[in-house]
Amino acid sequence: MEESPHTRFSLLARIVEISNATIQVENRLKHICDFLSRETRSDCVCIYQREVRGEDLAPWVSSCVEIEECTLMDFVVRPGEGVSGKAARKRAPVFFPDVKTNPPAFAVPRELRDFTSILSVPVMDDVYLYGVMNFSTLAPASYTEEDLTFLGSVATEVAGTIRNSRLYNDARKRVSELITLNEIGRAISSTFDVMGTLGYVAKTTLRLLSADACTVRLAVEGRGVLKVALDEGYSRPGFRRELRSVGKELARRIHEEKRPLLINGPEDSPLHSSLAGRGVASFLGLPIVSQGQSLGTISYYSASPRLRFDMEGAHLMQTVCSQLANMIENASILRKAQRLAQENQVKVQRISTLHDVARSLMSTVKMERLLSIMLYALISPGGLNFSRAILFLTSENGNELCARMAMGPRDRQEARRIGRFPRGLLGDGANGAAGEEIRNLLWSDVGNLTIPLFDASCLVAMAVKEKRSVRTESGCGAREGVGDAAPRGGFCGGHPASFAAVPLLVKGEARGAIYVDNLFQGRTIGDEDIQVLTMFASNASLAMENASLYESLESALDTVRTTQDRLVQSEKLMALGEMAARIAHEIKNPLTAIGGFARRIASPRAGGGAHSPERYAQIILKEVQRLERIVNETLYFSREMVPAFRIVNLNVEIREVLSMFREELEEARISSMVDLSPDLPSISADPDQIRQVVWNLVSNAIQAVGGSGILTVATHLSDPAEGIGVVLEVSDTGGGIPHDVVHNIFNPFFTTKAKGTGLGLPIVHAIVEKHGGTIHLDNREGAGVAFSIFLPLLPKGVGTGDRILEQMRKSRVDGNGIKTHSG
Amino acid sequence: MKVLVASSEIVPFAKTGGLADVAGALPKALRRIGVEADCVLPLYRCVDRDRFPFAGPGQAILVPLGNREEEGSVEETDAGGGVRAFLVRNDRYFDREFLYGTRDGDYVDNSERFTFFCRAVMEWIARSGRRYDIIHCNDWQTALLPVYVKTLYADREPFRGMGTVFTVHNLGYQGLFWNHDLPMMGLGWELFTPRGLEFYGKINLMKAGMLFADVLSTVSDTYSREIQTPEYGYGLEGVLYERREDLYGIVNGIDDEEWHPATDRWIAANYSADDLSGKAACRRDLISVFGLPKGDEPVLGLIGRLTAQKGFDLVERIGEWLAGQPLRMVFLGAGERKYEEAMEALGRKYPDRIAIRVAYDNALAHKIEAGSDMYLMPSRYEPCGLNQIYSLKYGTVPIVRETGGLADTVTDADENPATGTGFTFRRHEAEELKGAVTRALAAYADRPRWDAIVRRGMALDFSWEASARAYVDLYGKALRKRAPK
Repeated sequence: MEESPHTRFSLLARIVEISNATIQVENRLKHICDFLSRETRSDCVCIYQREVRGEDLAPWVSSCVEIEECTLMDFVVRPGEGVSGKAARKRAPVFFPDVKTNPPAFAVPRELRDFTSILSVPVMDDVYLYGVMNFSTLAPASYTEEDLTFLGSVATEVAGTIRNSRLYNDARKRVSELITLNEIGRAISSTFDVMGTLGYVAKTTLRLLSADACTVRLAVEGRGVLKVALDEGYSRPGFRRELRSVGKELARRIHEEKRPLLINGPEDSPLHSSLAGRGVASFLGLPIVSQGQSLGTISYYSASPRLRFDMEGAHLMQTVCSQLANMIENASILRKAQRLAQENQVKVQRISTLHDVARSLMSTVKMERLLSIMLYALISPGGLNFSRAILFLTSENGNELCARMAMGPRDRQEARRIGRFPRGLLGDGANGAAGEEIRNLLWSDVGNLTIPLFDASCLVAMAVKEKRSVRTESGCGAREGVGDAAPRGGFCGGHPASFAAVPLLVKGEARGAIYVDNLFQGRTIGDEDIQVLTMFASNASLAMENASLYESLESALDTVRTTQDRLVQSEKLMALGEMAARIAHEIKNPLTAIGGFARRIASPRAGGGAHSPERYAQIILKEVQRLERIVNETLYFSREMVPAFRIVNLNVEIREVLSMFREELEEARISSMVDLSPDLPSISADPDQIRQVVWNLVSNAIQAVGGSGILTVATHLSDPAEGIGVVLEVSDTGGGIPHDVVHNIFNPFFTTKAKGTGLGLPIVHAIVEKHGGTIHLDNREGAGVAFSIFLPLLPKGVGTGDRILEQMRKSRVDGNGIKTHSG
Repeated sequence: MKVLVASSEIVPFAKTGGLADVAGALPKALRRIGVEADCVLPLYRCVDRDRFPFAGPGQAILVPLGNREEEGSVEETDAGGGVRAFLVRNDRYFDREFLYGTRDGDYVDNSERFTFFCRAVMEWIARSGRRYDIIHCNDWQTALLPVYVKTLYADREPFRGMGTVFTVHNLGYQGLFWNHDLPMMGLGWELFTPRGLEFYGKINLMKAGMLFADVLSTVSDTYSREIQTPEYGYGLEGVLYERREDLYGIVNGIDDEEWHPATDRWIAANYSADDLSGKAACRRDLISVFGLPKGDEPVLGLIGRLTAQKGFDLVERIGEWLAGQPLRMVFLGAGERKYEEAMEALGRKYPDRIAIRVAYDNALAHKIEAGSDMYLMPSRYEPCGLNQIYSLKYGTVPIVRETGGLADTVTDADENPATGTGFTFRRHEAEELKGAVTRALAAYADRPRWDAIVRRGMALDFSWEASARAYVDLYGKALRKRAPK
């Protein structure tokens, strides 16, 4: 070099100009090399770039004028190696003037293979070495101090150019990362689709980090193991397979330690050699941590020795990972919530299904229909939704299970049709066209389907014997067509591998079993199905028990009705007989009297008769009147008891009746106390019926007393609280009515008497009721009974109240309560 | 149909290569055949604002660029022939001395500059409410437009149903950029795969255009097939092969005003196929300009960059042989130093047979096209090629290698005696070239046959209208692809 300072100044100006141009840095450096090779008469000017990590110098740009195939760009210079390595290490120019005439004592460096002389100038600013710049010549060269200063300035300018370019690229990369992070953040926060997001994040970060492969592992919930969620990259064949075990090992460590792991050399991890042996130059792994819990890991692999992950990348990815963790956590919460909601819905669905089923089971007590409803509930889509159901009942001797009824589609087509049945079908069992459809589903040929209960291999038999539900996914284990398959009527070979059986328990006794399968649905029968099925079975057992109880109840009821009919018939006959006896008894005395006096009149005894025939005639007349009354009374029973209301004085009627019992009372030595209120007003009543009431009560009392007792008959005004009217009281000392029969006394045909019709008190009851009155019974067991009968002044709702009131205003009641005027 | 031709350079606003000619001539030709066509390009410093005054104030636009927004505007002017030209303005990016880079290299921010341009075009269309049925994009600088139409703007009016046509002019420049520019471009990393925009770890914009445009074209049918092979595909043969159903070749038209022997103002005498007498005058003029001796031997012309692509390695190899043939040779062009030197040495060695002019000279180019008898174009590859078309128009019989546009425009006169317009050879070998030159010389000796070859070539239609019609067909295909099925 023989330039003047002025020339050097202009050279430097050009270099400054080039290095500040707005073109790519490689272009700029190339032009600087071109320019310098011309101006310094070097045959080759080249720049080696220091690797981002380490001290290696890699060829970058060169300008070779003379050499056709310059080898300077072919190799990487190790630290301290050769002329360039020395210059880099010393941070000072190293000059090798003439290798040809002054061969070195050591091996000729590679840089001098094609050249004679080389000057290596470090490209550095005050802090950092960016590389070296080499000036090589074919001929021996020499440089003055000024030359070296000048070239040092050039190298500093080049360093500045490289630094600026790096800063520029760093800034661009930063912006790129920022935008990408922002995008990732947006993507993560806008969805709960974990796998989709992981895929997007893996793809994006793979590019962002310029990694070659990426694997995301997620912790399996509830277990401490990691599972590969997705792989990205791995374009080299076999790469994934080679990395599987070491990758797993690293992921496990990251997962456990919950710390990122960066491996760029053996000093970072003993696993480095394992990675390097599989072509991995750099590894970065991060845990996805949420609330101190590692949810998974992301691992990045770089195969290129030029690209190593750094802490910056790790920090960047930590940001992404924490976002991911939140997202996974949120998604998991959402999933749990959804699952809970779903479970609840399923439960509600189940309960309402069971409720529907229970209701429909209760809709009938007829066994046949109940069984058909049961089976339909098992196979209906609105019910338990099995494919097919068979109901087995334990045989009489307890040795066999006999199929009672079976229901289900016979083929897929039919199964599909059932799937379309309306849900509400369940409740109204077997009505109309729907009922027809359901009846079609019944299997007509289950009669001979039996399972021996001693058959240990049959799971249905086992369900009954062990009184528990059984479920299988793999058949019952019995081989088809072997041994006792025949007695089962082909059942064993006919069911699918997946089926269930539940026993029907009544009072702890297995009465049968329900068999279900999902032949046409492919849905496996789960534990929850069994739960529902068991609940159903207990419901069904109850319903069946009900139905069978009802059946026996009905037959019992039939018997009762027949007996009752017969009883009524005989009661009637008995009543007739008693009536005849009473009539006979009643008319015997008058007839005797009539006969006697009539005979006296016909053949008067001489001297024997003090009375005249008139007297006898009067007696006969009286007796005839008595006969008439008896006949009338008897007729009363055959008449309908429609009261004919008139103004009646109760006291008068009572006295009349009592006079008829006078003889009887005397015979029985019953003393009677009659206490009739003189203030008693007249009432509106049917006098015949009122007399009937008194007659019946008195007659009852006499019979109750039997002998030597007291009969009390009294009347008084009613308590206003009871209503306006009169009260008749008949009491006796006949020991009262036994407690257990007292409620029956007003029932027809009930009687405690050997010869009673049992119609007495019912008639009393009927008459009092028709008069709008009430009966009060005061029964003192062991003492006696007192009937207290209230009769209103005017029976309610009965005919011509106004007219009766008018009559009552006109009538006048005398002091003795005896009617003085009747209309 | 409304068409917007987007290009990084358009004649008469800015030009570095043949792309500007195509992008300038096509919209005008489309207008002439009744298609409404506009064009859009960046507003470079070189755009002559006095010659092309802006119509009113430009429309301001905000262009998203990564995480920021860049301001810009779109100016409107008249490109002539009824074509409106829209110029995307951002002085930070485009107010520079050069279009793509200095002599020393590409601008360091080219990816950002042309991302801005494409995004600005999208924003401007969206904002201005202009409805274009087709955007016709050219080379990597406008390759993001089809990507944007299909991705970022896919759901926005008026881009729904908009067809995109992407024309590859020069596969040698693919717009390769750092992968970290992807967010700046507004695209997601999911596109950065070997099946997507990735090309050996970098973003390849040419590939992006090829992947996302509805219809692809290149400048000749043969070239469109050649680029599906590794030999011509520059690594993109796979993508092109996959899209072969949508890949078409349309030869460029030529500028009839600039290049027509009947009206050419640069040549000694005008002539036509009916009267070729003017061509003899041109030949005399050419010989005298290049200082060659007068004579009857045919003149072989050659214009072009001195590169191996143009086949100068072959020319160099048979230089001695050519000097020994009954012909004279004129050469115009510049390029690689070693070819320049080799040609100059040849000229010095045979001054009365071979004349060399190392320069670019438009007037001289016209004189060579008009005054030569034969024209040599032994290109290694030639997407379209214009000089062979000029030669045909000027009655100068081309001797070409059967590649790209050369194969599509020149028919061998020996193989097709009835339709032949020149002489062609297949393999890129010296002997093959020698054979073609020998056959041409033999034909030249047969005057009636030679005249027939000359007239057939002059009768061919290489007008831009013909090309424009072919492009309209292509636009129709693109629209049909976009129409909802």
